[in-house]
Amino acid sequence: MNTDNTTQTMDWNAVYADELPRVYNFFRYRVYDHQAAEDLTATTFEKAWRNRDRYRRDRSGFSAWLFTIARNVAVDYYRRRRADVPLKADLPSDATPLDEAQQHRDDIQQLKRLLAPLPPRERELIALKYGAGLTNRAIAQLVGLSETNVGTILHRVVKQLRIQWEQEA
Amino acid sequence: MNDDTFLYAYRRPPDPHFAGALYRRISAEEPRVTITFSFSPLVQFKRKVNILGGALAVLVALSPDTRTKLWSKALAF
Repeated sequence: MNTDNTTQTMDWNAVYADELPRVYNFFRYRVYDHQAAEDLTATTFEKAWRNRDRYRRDRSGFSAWLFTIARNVAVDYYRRRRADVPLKADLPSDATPLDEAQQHRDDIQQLKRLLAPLPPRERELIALKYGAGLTNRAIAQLVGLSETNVGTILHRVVKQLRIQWEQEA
Repeated sequence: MNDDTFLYAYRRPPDPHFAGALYRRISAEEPRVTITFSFSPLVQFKRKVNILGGALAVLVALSPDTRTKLWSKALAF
């Protein structure tokens, strides 16, 4: 995937390997549906690939550009659906031992209950932080908030979620 | 479980079949080849002068008068 003259400095194989799990998990936390997350991830990468000649800068900036596309794809998804999709508990892989699998299912169900009522902006911040694994600085640049603001919001939300998590445990 | 570890519970690697299929689908797209010539104005001017000069030389060489002179010189030898 490294044929284009405008992106000849970009190692597309490495970009794909690095960014695919981040984008995919961003969508998992954003839409709470495994199949939809795959569809939206595919849409994001297809759009990025088709428009790759518009991107001519550095690799770190590429991630921000990709997540800008991903956020727009998520917005389009919700616009089409007009309603949030409830979180589905994905079944763990067959390789997971039974006890671990049950624990994993329980954790996901519990997380679903905690995350579902969050307002869209806070859920997006959680998706970018814990799904995509972005830093507060990167999130701030993406969503147009200050880094301090992002940190404050996340701290408050995580603290609240942790209390609820421990109460339910 | 400390701090925010519990929030990572929903993370999962993408299905390898999905990752492979998407990679192949994207890779299969025809690369758009865009050829752009971006010569400087000076280079463009030189190119035009060269083309004009070449055309003029061809015209002169092919003119009947020139051909007659060339033939007469050749026959003189």
